[in-house]
Amino acid sequence: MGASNRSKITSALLCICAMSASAFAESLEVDLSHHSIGIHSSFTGAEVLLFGTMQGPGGGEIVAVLRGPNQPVVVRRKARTAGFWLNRSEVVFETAPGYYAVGASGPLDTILDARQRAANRIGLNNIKLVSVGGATRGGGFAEYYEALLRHKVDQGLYFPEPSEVQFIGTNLFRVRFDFPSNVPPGTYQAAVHQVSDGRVIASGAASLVVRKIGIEARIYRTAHDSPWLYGILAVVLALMAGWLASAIFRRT
Amino acid sequence: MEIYLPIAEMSVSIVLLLGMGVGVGFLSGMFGVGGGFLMTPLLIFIGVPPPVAVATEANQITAASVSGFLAHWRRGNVDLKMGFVLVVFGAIGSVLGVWLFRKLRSAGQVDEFISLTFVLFLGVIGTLMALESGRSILRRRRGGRRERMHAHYWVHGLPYKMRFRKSKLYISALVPAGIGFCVGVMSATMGVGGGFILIPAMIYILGMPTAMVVGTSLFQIIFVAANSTLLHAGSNQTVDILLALILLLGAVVGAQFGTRIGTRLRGEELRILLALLVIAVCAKLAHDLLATPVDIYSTAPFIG
Repeated sequence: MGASNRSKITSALLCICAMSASAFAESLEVDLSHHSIGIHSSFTGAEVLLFGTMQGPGGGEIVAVLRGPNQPVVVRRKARTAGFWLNRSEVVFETAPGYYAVGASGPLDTILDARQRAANRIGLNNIKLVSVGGATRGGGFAEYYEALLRHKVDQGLYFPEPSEVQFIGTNLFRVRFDFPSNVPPGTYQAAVHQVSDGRVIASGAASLVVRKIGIEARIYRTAHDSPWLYGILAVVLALMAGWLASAIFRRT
Repeated sequence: MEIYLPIAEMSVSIVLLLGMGVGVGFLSGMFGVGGGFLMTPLLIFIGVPPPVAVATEANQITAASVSGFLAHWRRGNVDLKMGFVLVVFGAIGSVLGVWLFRKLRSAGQVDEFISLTFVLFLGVIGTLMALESGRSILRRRRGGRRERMHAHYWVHGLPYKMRFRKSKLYISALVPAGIGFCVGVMSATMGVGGGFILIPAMIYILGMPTAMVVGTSLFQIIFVAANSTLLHAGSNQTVDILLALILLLGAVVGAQFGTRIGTRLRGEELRILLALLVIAVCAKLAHDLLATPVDIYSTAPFIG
């Protein structure tokens, strides 16, 4: 490796450092009301409060994104074939977040321009879904992407409108996120940005874990750790229940 | 009251699940079918992921068919000997069915093949059953001559004759063995219990009395459903034991009531009701295939 090459790399590295330093000039202090949500047998959903303090006296706007654990999802498309509607093509999205919600202190498009929103992955159209394999016979990729978003919104896991970020006093802010009962377990990451004049001037992060607890956790673990034993248990349970019902009805 | 289901990963109303269990269990005890044809779409409709719906309902069917089978057994309406022949050859058939399914899948187009075959099958069986049972109801109304117990044709000329005392039959063991085998192949390739195919075959090909068919079919379904539960739990981890428990509590009770009503009906009345049910399911499947869907896209977790 020549000296000129080395200097090129060094200057490139310096450049990257400078860029990230300017992008995250200050770190935003944020936290969540829960760091762990337990799914128990009467779990019907939860709400989480994200709060923090704005940097500097200048004020500005707040944009927050809460993402659930990534899960591969397949989107299939039906087409008419010889009179029948059948699944003809599919696209697999390797990294679709299991949950996606945005909080903002105003309309997103006035706070940040499209390029900034894309760079910070803010908004349903900027989730950056990666697709792998899968033939896309007929119809564009964008339509599969839209179908995925539409279905996730229907399931209550993605939110088309941002939650409102409220300010308390001059520097404190908070925003509420709703978790439906079908939230996927895993780690959730919150990324919060303070924006001034269309530029991100400070950023912060927080995370929380959603997991099954109690009997729910025990059933799930048994099903995955000893699947055959679990299967035998399920069958025995069914046989006993059938016999029991028959025995009870015989007497009446 | 809501309960969180650990494998389906969602919360649902217990009362709703119990109600679904009772309804499907009732049909199971009355007609001797598993009821998966009704339970799968219902579970998917309330938001249970399809693989979990299919696997869990196999568990619930096991319970309902034990409950129904015992109720029919007490009334003397089960031909155990026939049942065993069907179960043994059904098991051999399902091994071939699994192999066939893999061949079809590697050739692609497996879903199309299954949907079309199933619709065709149900349509033909349902129509024939409705015509036959409708005719016998009319004949009885007119007070015509009594029917022969069953028709005799080439099937009854085959060798290896065996006596099935309960069903009042003396026929070649090859016939029930062949039927069991075919149903085994079909239930493995189409992912259905096979009650819809088995019951008409027992009535019209074997010539068994309708009352005996229901209990014997339930006996065979216990084995198919238990085997399917075990395989789904073992290889896919998709059996939700909590969901199954609530559904089967409803189903075992429903099956007892279904048996009571079913045994009070005449053979041809039971057959025409079953025929109508088969035609309704066929119409629903055909509608799904032919009508323009509300949404041509569907999403599912990708299992690679």
